[in-house]
Amino acid sequence: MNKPKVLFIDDEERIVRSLTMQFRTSYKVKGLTDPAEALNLIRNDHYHVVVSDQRMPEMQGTELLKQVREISPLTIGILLTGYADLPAVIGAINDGEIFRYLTKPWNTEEITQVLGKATDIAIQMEQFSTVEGTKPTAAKPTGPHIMVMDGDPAVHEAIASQFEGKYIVHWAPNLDTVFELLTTHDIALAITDLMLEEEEITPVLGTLKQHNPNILTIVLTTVKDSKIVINLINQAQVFRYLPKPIRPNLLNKSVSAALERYTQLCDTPILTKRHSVEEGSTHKKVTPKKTSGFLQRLKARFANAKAATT
Amino acid sequence: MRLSFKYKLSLVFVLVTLLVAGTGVYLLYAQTYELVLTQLGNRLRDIGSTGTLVFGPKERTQIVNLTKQIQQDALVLTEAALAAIPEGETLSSLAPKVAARYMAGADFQNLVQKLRSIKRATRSKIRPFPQDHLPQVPKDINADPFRILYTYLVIPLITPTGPHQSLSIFLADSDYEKQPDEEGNPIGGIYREVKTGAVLVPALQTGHTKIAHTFITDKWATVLTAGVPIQDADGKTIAVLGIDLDVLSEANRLRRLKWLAFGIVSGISILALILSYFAAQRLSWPIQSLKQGAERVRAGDLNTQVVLQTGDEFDVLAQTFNAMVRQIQEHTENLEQKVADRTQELSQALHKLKASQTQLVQSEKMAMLGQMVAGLAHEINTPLGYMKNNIIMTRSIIEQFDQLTVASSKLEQVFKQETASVEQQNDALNNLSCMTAEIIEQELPDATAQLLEDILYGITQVSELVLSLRTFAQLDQALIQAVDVHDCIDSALRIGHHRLKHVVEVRKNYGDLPTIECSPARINQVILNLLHNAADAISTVREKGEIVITTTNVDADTIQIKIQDNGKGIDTKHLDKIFEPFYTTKPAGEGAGLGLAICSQIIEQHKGNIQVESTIGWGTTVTITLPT
Repeated sequence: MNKPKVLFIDDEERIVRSLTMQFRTSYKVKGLTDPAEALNLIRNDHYHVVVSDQRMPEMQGTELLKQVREISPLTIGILLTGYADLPAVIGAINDGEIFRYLTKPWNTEEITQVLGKATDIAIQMEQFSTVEGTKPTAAKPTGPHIMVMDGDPAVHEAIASQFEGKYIVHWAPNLDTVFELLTTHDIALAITDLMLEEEEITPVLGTLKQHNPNILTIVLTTVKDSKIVINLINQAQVFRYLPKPIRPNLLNKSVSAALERYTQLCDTPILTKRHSVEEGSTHKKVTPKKTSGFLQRLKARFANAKAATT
Repeated sequence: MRLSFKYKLSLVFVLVTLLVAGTGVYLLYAQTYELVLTQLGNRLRDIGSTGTLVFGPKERTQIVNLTKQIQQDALVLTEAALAAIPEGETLSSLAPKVAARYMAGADFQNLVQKLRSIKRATRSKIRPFPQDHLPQVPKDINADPFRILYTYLVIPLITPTGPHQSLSIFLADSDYEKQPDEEGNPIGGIYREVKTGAVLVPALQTGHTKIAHTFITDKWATVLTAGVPIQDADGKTIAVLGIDLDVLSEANRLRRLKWLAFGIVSGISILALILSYFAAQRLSWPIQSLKQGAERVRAGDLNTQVVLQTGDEFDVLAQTFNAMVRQIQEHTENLEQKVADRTQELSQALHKLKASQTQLVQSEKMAMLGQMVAGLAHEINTPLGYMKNNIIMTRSIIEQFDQLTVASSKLEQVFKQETASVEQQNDALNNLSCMTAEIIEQELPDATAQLLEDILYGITQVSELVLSLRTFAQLDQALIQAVDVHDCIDSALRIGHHRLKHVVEVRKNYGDLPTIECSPARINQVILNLLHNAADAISTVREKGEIVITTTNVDADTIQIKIQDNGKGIDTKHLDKIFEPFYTTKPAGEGAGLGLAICSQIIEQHKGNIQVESTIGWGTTVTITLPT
């Protein structure tokens, strides 16, 4: 059987050594300390998963993973970093579009699990890409629906006026409205703050992604906590992380990219695998009452939808 | 000249009074003088015209004859000699002998008699009849108003160019002999009249009676002169009869009148001066009060009120002034209140500002600390990562070896057992060799050695880091101590390693330095901050830069640390402000702009000096000097 191929990159050779040694039996592993060399390797050979350090002399990990994605779109990127400074984490979302963000010292079980999942997905995607022509021509969503999840009406107004005539912008100032919109419209993109009705909604975003992987999320927030942002990657696979106040140019670019990706995901549903999140991670947390009620409703809704389709 | 309003006002009064009184009195005097002169002149004219009557045909012939004789016998006189005759003086034109002969002659004597008769006539006429309507006739006989002093005859002086314009010749005089108190006018004397009262020559020339317009005072008398022409049968003027009227008394009276007028004017002026002073004072007191009020206000007495009650414009002015003062008072009170309020607000703001500045400095320090911690976390987490992983792996390897041990002991057991079949022996052997093969295939012994070695390396790394952290912060040592600056630099380099290693090559250029007294933790902080700055400056423009750290012993008391980078450099316009708190070119959120401010503060506390030189595109050099 062909073992999935995994590439480890870290400027500390001992890390590379340790990881390659750990996974040498499970995967076909390769370890490098030079990002440039890694890029050359990727160009010539397909790797399913690339695990990279963030701080390296030649190149930042996010930059490396971005280039890897460009060279090999089916390769899944994972960041393994010693210190989670906010710019790096945000870069990991916006530039790297990474699958997971892991911190050193890592949990052996966790990394094994993540790598397992990543390689599974990568192999599925690889198989799909080798079987050409099965691309379903999904009906182009007429005027993509955007949902603004923010308690501040000014934010909705600003976004609505920016995209007037281009997209249909809905406003969800609370979780009930979010639920209602999700049942009535095919929401392509959620532009959301991290706090809604004074509650942190990362779990909501996670559940949303878990049950409807097509929906893309742009987080627009003042929150600057690298831990939360890491959770946004690992548990909710947010597409972009933008700081408030809104910078129209940046938002426009992000929204365009998101909708392009949405179309891509609709056309090629297998790609949504790439955005799968940590399952059940939301249950581990002590979820606030209101949010948990919502989560149950949301889960029920998607369960119904699934039942209906099957 | 500064004069108070009061004096100006009184001066104006005095001048006006002087002008009015002076003009009035002068006009009065001039009228009187004119009147006296006219009256005397008219009387003299009458006397004169009457007097000519005594010169009958016989006398006129005598005049003509004498004239001819004089003209024949006259001495030849130069023009210069004539011109030299002063006013009122005579120059004889006849030799004394000739003159004496003429004067002894009958013609001359007859003429003198006639002249004397005129003189006597006027006197005798008046003396016996003192006029009743002139009650103030002076008691002094010498001041008798109608005394004719002299009567005389003059003839024209004929020069080669014709009759002389201002000289005449005495023909006869009522008092020609030498008198006790005067010389008299002998025949032939060339006479120059006093110009202001000239009548003789004009009468000779015009043939009309001329009266002088002024009194003439000479060394003998004060007179009013009339010139009355005497004509022959043909109407030709042959001589002029001169009459001198004694006007001493009138002149004296007029002079006295003049003094009186002067006195009156002076008196009026003095009176005016005194009166005007009081009047001015009276008029100007409202202004004085206002002035004093204004001065009091200026001196700060805002309760000042000026009360005039004059009912005029001054009153209005005073009321306006009072209103103004009240307004000023109100404003002042408000202002004081406002100033007090503002001062309080300001001091509160200052207090807040100081508090927030302290807070900001603190938070910047924390940020610097945070940056350091971030780096350290990375530095520690990396070894921790592989150490942990390696230990877990080693554990599983040990398990494999455990199994191997179990297998080998089983083999031993099988072989020792007599009852064991060959099959059992083979199984055990196979099992063991399989396991061994797996271990060898996986190169487990070597791998384990490598894993353990890496763990040991990691432990060394972490303990070194912890040690340098302790050195850096000097947690367990005195605050101020003798320190080798190189230790500080090395410590900072170790702490900053994670930030520097990817960006820069550090070149050390250490000199031979004495130890210095300083707070090593603080100096470490400064150097780390400067290294971070250098790394930031480099990473914006190039992949890999260079930092050169040079230390020199400048002199016995000073050492120098120079940190040079080849980063982007600092614009000259920023260079001056670089040590100012909160000055930053980084975007908001990335540093409060306190790093260098804190550095400079620390260096100042060490009585040292920190300077920055920079060239855009070439890099920056920070020079620190510290006392030993």
